[in-house]
This record gives sequence, structure tokens and C-alpha cells, in this order.
Amino acid sequence: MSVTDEPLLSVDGLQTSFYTEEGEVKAVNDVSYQIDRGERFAVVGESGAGKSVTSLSLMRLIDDPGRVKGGDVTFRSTSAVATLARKFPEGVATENSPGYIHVTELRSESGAVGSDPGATVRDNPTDVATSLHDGSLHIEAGHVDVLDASEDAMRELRGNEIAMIFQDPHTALNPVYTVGEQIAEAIRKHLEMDDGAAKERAIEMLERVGIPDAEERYSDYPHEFSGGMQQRAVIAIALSCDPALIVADEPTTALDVTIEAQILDLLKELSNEEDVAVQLITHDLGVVAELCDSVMVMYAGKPVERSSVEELYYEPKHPYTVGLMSSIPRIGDDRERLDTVPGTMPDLVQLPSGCSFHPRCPYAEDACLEHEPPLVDVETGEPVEDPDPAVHSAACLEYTGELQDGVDFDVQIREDAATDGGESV
Amino acid sequence: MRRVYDSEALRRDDDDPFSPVEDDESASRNHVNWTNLSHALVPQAIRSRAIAVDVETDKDRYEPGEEIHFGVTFANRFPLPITIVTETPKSWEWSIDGNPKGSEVPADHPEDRSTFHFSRSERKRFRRSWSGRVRVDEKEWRSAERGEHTLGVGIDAVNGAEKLRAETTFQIE
Ligand code: SF4
Repeated sequence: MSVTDEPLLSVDGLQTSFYTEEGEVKAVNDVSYQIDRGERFAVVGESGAGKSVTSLSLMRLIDDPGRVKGGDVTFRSTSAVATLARKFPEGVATENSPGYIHVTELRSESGAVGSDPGATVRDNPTDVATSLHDGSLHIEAGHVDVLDASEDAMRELRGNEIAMIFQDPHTALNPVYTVGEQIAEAIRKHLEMDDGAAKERAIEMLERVGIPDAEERYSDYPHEFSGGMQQRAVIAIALSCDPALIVADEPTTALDVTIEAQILDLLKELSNEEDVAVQLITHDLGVVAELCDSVMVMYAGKPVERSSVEELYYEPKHPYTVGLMSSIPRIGDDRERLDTVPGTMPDLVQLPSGCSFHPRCPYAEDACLEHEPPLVDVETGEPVEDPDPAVHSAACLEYTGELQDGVDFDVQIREDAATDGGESV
Repeated sequence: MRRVYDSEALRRDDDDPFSPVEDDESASRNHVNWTNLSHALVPQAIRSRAIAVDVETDKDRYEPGEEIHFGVTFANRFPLPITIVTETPKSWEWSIDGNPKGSEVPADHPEDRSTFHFSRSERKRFRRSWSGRVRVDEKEWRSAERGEHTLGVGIDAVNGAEKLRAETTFQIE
């Protein structure tokens, strides 16, 4: 398998907990998924499902009392491997010594270099760094173990390779610097450009995300921008360093519906044109339909359903997903969004026995109190060990044949909205 | 449900455009640091005696399948702040017949020491419940047997853990 066939990001068995006086809050409890290059992947669920914590864990932004207790996050980008190998040769793994930067293939014009490419990099750091920089050597294959990376390496990775867009632009924008300076700063830091070039690129980026009169607005402070414009500026920062992956955490929740649609269009267009993968975190399946290719539904820290967006819309398999589906707002519907999944997310300090969803599930039977359903292929009932995006999987005893009455729901897709994959704003 | 963004468990860094900016933090540093003072005054061995532990179920007898609600209290008997050093980041734990949280599956808390802090004369109360089902495997639970069961609570303290426990019994009929 060549490196480009492998997913850009693999998350395996991620577990993140917060230790509080109340007890251990299991926010992310054995979550696995993968994202391909250029893919738009959604993580959906209500507040408290563990979506944000999943993303923050992979960005390594979780701090005390939070702890990533287990799992692996593998990021396969040759440019990331090259940058990190150049700057942190001591972190390169060789056959005999551990490390978080894995160089599996190193090439020069005359062919593959070294039988242990990691050792080649580690033993001659200065020469290799120069050759990597001037292009006489390049890294053909490799990956980074994100959870083991040093703090400095993470700073390099965040922004350069993986960028994050938060729900509230204020989380990312510093009120005391102009918007333009903040973009230019990100560019200077990560692309090693001088001030003039960085400013030019920052203005270009502002134009790119649809900010009119970009040159003049470069010197505006964040408060002089509207909410939608601020979010555009944040997207400009995120894109300014050509990341391979953008993690967008509820990027449109704080915005009104028209602006939301514009921002989603922008993200879609940019991800198509720049071939950047997006991990979108949202509670809103309408937003997923607008933007994404595949989706993972989370409940109480665990994935309960994974599939392509299209299949999830036409054939949702988990009762929780079905509940979420009915909370999609409809065009022209001004009613308050209904709380269509009755009940609340369980206390993550004390999860219900068996299927965590049983207290809220209309189909719960005795078996659901005693058996926790594994994530299985909905067709075969076989457990899915490796998260395969082509397999539609769900964690409900219906698909392991353990229910007596079974689940039974009808999904009605309204004609006026079905054309683009579902109902949405 | 507290959102992670409102918590302190998020790395913030003004110099890193890709991590959240820092909150305004201008807490005064000029107050008496009671914790350090208490550490200076109260030796480890005594600290465990300062905390009274109590646990109580809401009833003595339960039907099979009924949820067992209980209350846990930790009270600092000293007019000084007390910090207990714990073996893991888990401040305290409850158990049924010796199984943490009624689970036969061993817990996997990181083995780094942490602290459980009490201010002067502070009482901490927690409400918990147990489903009456014992976790026998990663993904399997069984209804508890009828008869008497012991509910225990304790702080896994580095010093004096034996003094920081309490237990009670109840019947499933
Ligand atoms: S396993 Fe049972 S409780 Fe869980 S979703 Fe399926 S039917 Fe509902």
C-alpha cells in the first residue's frame, strides 16, 4: 500500500478522561476512526457526547485534570514528517531506538537512501536537514505518532499541518492585535516568510475567504469584524499555512442561518480546491449533509454509528441517530428546534450498565441493560475492528441478534430536501 | 454538562495561534496560602485523621433490579485546610463487595499521585447510585445476587488510607 492510499489520520482506541472530585469523567471512551486525504468527516452528537474532547485530544490541547489515557493517533503526511525530522531529529525512530517521527522511505534523485532511513536522519541531522530543505532528499513515506510527540513538535504540527477552527472566533482571535497581523504571524511562524511576504499572503488569504477590501481590512481589530467575518478570518488563519487537515469544532453554531450557509460553502469550496481534509464537529445533522462525505455519531463518549453521509440519511441504523435526524430543522420552519431525543446525556462519571443509551431508547429491552453492544457491520453483525469508512456500522444489539422485539423505524425523507442528500437549512 | 471550553482542562497559549487564547487572569497573589501553611503545620500522618468519611444508602432493603441510591460525605474536622495525597488522580472511590463501582473489571487509573483538597472545616457530599448490576466483563453485566451486600467508600491515600474508609450494608431481597 503506498502512503497516499493510507488514511491521512487514524485514531485508534482513543480514551480521554477528566479526573474531578466527582470522579473520573470518561469523556472519550475507546473511539476509533480515520480520515482520508481531502475527505470531509463529521463527528456528530449532542453536547457531552465527547466530540470536542476527541478533537482537542488529537490536537494535544487537553490539559490537567484531563488525561489522554490510551490510544494512538497516527498522522501520515510526508511534509509533516519532513518538517519535524528537520527540526527534531532526536524524535526520529530508528530500528534500535524509539521515537515519534517515523521515516519509512527516504529518497534522493538516485533512489532510496539507507536501509534504516530513520537512523540516516538521526545520525546526520545537520546534513539531512539541509538536504531536506533544499530538496535533494525527500521523504517518500512516514508518519507521526501524535500522542507521543514533544510539545515543541506539536506546536509545529498545529497550524502547519493540522489547523483548528473553534466555535467562538474569540477563542482564536486575540483582541489586541489586528486581524491581518494575526494571519501574518501564523504565516511567519510556520512558513518561514519575511514580514513583507507574510503580509502579502495574509491579504491574499483574507481575499480568499471572501473578505471585501482585504487590504484595508488587514489593519482592523477583531471587534471591527462581524461574527461571520471573524469566523472567515479564523478560517484564513487556519488555511494560511496549507494544512492537510482542518478540525472545525461547531464552526457555524454561533452564526445566524444565512451566514452559516455561506461559511459552510466556503469550507466546502476551500477543501475541494486545496485538497484539505476536514473533521467537522457538530450537533447538527443538517450541517453534516451540507458539507461532509462520511460521519461518526457519538453518544456518551463512544461511537454508536459510522457510515457515509448518504447512507446515514437514508438508512440510519442506531435509534439515537434516528432521534437526532428528527431534530434537523426544515426549510422555512421557524419553530424552536425540538428536543426530539427525550431525556439527557448520562452522567459520564457513572455510565448506565449495558448500552449507555438504554435509559433514553424507546426500543430498550432487558438485554440492553446487561450487554453493551459492540460496533458491528449492520449487514453481517460482525464486529468492525478497523474503522472502515466503506462499512456501515452501528452499536445496537439489534445488529447482533440479541433483541427479542427489535427496532423498527421509518425514515421519511422529504422530497423538497432529498435532492442534496437531506434536509438542511 | 460542562463544556470543555469552559474548563481549565484546555491548553491555552497566546503565542500559538492554533491553541485557544488565555483567559484574563489577574488573581491576587497576596493572600495567605492556607494549603502551604497547613502542610507546614499538619504532618501527613495526622492529615488522614482530619477527614471523617461516611456513606449511607437511602434504604436498607431493595427489590431486585431496583437502583441503590447512596450519599457519601467527607468532612474536614480541622479548622485548617487539609490536602490528602492520593495514589492516583482518582480522589475517592466507592465499591460493592470490594469491587470498585460494582465492577469486576479492574480500573485503569494512571499511576500518578494527585491530591484531594479540603478547605477549613469543609464538608464534601456526593450522591451516587448503583444499578444493582455487577459488571462482570468489559461489555457484560449481571444482576447482583439476593442477600447482603457491602457498600464501601474510601480515599486511596498514600498515607493512612485505612483510616479514610467507611462502609455500610444493605439487602437485596
Ligand atoms: S442496544 Fe438496546 S438500548 Fe441500545 S440502542 Fe439498541 S435497542 Fe436501544
